Amino acid sequence: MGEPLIVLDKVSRVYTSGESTVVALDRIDIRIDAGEMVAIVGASGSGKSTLMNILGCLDRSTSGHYRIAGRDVASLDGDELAALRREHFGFIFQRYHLLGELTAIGNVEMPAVYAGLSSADRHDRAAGLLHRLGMDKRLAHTPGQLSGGQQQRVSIARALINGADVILADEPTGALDSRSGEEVLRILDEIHAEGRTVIIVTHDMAWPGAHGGSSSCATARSSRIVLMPTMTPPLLRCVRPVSKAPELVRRGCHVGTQD
Amino acid sequence: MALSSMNAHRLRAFLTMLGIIIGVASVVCVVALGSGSQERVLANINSLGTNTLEIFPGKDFGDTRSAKIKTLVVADARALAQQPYVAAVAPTVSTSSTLRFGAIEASAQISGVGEQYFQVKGTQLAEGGFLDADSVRSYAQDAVIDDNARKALFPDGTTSPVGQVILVGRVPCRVVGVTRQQQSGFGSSANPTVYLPYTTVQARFLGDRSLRSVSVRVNDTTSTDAAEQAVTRLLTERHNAKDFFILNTDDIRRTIQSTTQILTLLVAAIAVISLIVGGIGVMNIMLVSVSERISEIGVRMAVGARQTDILQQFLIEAVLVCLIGGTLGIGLAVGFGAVFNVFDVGFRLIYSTTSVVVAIVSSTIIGVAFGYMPARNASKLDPVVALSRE
Repeated sequence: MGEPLIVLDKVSRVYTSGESTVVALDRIDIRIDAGEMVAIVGASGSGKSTLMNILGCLDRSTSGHYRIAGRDVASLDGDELAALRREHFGFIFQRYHLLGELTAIGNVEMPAVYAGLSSADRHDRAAGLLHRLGMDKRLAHTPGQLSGGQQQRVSIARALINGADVILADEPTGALDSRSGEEVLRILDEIHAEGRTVIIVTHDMAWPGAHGGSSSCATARSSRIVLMPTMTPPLLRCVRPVSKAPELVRRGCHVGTQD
Repeated sequence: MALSSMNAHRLRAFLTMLGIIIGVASVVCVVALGSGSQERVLANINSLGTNTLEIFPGKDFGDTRSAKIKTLVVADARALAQQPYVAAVAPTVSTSSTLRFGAIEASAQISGVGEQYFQVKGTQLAEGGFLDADSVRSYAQDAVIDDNARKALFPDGTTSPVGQVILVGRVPCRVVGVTRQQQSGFGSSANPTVYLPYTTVQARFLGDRSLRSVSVRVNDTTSTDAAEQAVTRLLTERHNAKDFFILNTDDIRRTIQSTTQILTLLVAAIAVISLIVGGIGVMNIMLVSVSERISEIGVRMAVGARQTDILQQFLIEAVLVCLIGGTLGIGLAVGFGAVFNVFDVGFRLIYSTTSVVVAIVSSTIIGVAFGYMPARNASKLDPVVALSRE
């Protein structure tokens, strides 16, 4: 087999404010193949969101290499990074990050505007996606008029409109009640079933174990859990070593696979 | 897209525009007020009598022989009237005599003048009419009296002097006009003055055809200095000697010029100050309105907008805001002018195209620059940094 879709090689992210430095990520190694569904789990402050932002090219690593389909991200210029975000990644934020002045359909269409789709095409595509996500009666509502679960579905539609092959969801259920949360997870499962790579960040240590019995995650055959090491800079320690078949190993810390 | 974004944020767009509107309107109004009052002040000074030359016989004031020099005659005045730089010419003679009307007597200055005299001096009528060419040609016994003479002879103020016959010395004259009080301190006095045709004064009072002086009004395009030289050349040629001197009342013109300069400077300074004040307003509101939208820029970049997409959007929005704001600002200024002109305050607003153009151009440049710069800076950030700015 060739190189995996996503390869993180000793990636670190250090924040500097004044004289103090905070190490958010310390030499993380991760490999993710196309079509995988991966959960990144860890305690608050363990650097999950930082990792996610780096994966989605919203942030840059301080050191180490990040390769997407064999290309080193550090060698790309601003427009190439924008093209990656536009064509290949779909980002779902915990706080939705919808634009308040646009309607639901306007928000979904936005990435397609930048991709240069004609106005009729992007309208059809956005309406189709919202219809599929059960939002067809709320196309003209602004985010302020939608519930949290509905806003998150709009943001999922926005992530999908340009046909992204990697969906990055940063605590997508974090601000939702459990029912809406399950709905969102079900949608993400469907997206994975279409053959897209799905990477989810969650602070919920039990996930997807909690769903082990439920149909959605139990059937996600290639689901893996990447457990973030909690860090007490500069030392690292593992919260919960996963013993089984570590694919991602960093100084004896870990990664588990759930079959 | 820019329009729909502005429509969605009507209040923000309006507040941003308000900076431009106020800036443009204030510059345009202040310049219009300045030019209007400048015009009024200059008109007031102009009414004092402007660029005139007075030609007297003799070498200078106080020349004892000047009374004996009889060379300055009406023919000289006619020759001067032919000159291209001359707007009006008035030969004058003068004497003094006693005025009588009924039982009232007053001693007065008698000025024998040509029909253009009042034009030369910038005299204005209170009632009646001026002397005309006919009355000069026909040695008419028509008199124009000044405000002092009117007060002396018609103190009750109820009878109109026009049409009344007064005795000037022993000559009965019909009053045809009354002049308004001259506003100036230049050469006016409290002495009653009666203006008669110079022909009448020469024939009935002096018995002499020479002139005491010739007043020349130089036209507006010629400087009085150049006119003075030309007049000197012409008269020297005609008399074969320089037996006259010229009083140049250019000091009035100089006063006007320096007043004009000061007022122009004042208007310009006020315009520059209001430009700066308006510019700073525009700058602040633009900076704030774009800084507020940095997280929006972050969202747009996170879904794949290029830096150029962001810049284009903000540039178009800034230009639109500035142009619409500028147009509204001009509308506001014109509206203010209309209201201002309804209340008659003694001068009107004069709009200058230059001030409108400069106001629009500078506020647009400032608005676009300060709308564009923070957007450019934000679009250079990593999206995650822009996203976290609230």
